[in-house]
Amino acid sequence: MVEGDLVRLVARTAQGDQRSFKQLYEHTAPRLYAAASALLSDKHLAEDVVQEAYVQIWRRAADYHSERGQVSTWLLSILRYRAIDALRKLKPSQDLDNIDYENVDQASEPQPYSLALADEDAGRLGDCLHTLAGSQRASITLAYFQGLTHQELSERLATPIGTVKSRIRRGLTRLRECLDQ
Amino acid sequence: MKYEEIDLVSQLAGEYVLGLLTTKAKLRFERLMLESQNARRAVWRWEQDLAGWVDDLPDKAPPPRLWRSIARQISPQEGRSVGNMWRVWSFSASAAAVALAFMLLISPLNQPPELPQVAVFNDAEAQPLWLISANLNTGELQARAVNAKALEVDEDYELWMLPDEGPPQSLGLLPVNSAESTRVLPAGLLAILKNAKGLAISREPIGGSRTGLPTTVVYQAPLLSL
Repeated sequence: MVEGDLVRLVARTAQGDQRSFKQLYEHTAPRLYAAASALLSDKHLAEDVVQEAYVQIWRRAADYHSERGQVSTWLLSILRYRAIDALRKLKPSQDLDNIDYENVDQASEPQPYSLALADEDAGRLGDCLHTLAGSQRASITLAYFQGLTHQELSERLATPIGTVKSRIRRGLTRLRECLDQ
Repeated sequence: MKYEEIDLVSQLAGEYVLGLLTTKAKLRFERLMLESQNARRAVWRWEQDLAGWVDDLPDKAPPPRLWRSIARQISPQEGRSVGNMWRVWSFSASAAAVALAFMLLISPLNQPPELPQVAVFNDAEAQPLWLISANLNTGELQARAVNAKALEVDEDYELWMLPDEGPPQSLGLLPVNSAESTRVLPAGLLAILKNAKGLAISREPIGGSRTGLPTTVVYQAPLLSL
């Protein structure tokens, strides 16, 4: 299904067309469900989050316009914010793998995104993330994928909050420069 | 703290997308997004640029029950496709209005769970300028200029609702000089209105915003449930 078709489905969804919405779901849910499963280790939670995301997509279809990027990007954003909300409601101990964060500066990555961003994947984002210092990359990916706050990052990485904040800033700066090339 | 390398807006937008802004900072930034095309674009760029991680994820078929549970949550009423009928009268006069006031009364019919909602904007003299009513059942939105001050010849005023997430949604142009306009909101917009957190009015070129988003917000107010 090409982008134009997806845009049409979204536009019809915005007008209350349930059939188009169902088609949109059928074409896009496998990827969103995969994303939710990657973000949330709990299968039931992943389902709940995808469900909430699509209900929101139904209600907010009128929000979409092409300046926001491709339809799939817009859908993914909705899903990720939902997943982050879900993660923030959980206690930290429920979703952590046993991760050794002491060696972050030696470029060990937080799970599970090391899978998505492994060297063999290349891809612009992966490449640019690898231009960051390990600590910057860890902070940004933990925030992005797991919704950790500055305070939580500080605790998780055993680093003062000020240092966390400046790592994020510098990491974002470097990332932006790389992405803009 | 140096922001020489990327501008502050891009930095804030990045932190916004990462979910790192404090509640206050987030609200301030969302307000900036209302008025600044630059801020909105910065957020969308980060969202797009950071989305690449899904590209290599293998698809995963969701269980059939997932669609069923979504379908159940979409009310039949929202599913009804409502015609998008717009009738707008727009008049202009010589002087410019700076402060605006109007009262929004949303009156649900036969829908007890939906509480009436009111948005109140007061100018310095607390003079209402527009009377706006909406029927949450039919989606009909009516705006009547009660005492609207004259506008610049080459400007219109546009009404927006603010969903709790995402950009403002236009509810159309506001009439002036005792004119009245009636329109029926499509189901998607009506659904958003039911959950909107506020309303805003912007000054626009004649015919309304060209960008689909407010140009200069002159007032905004929260929607309150009575």
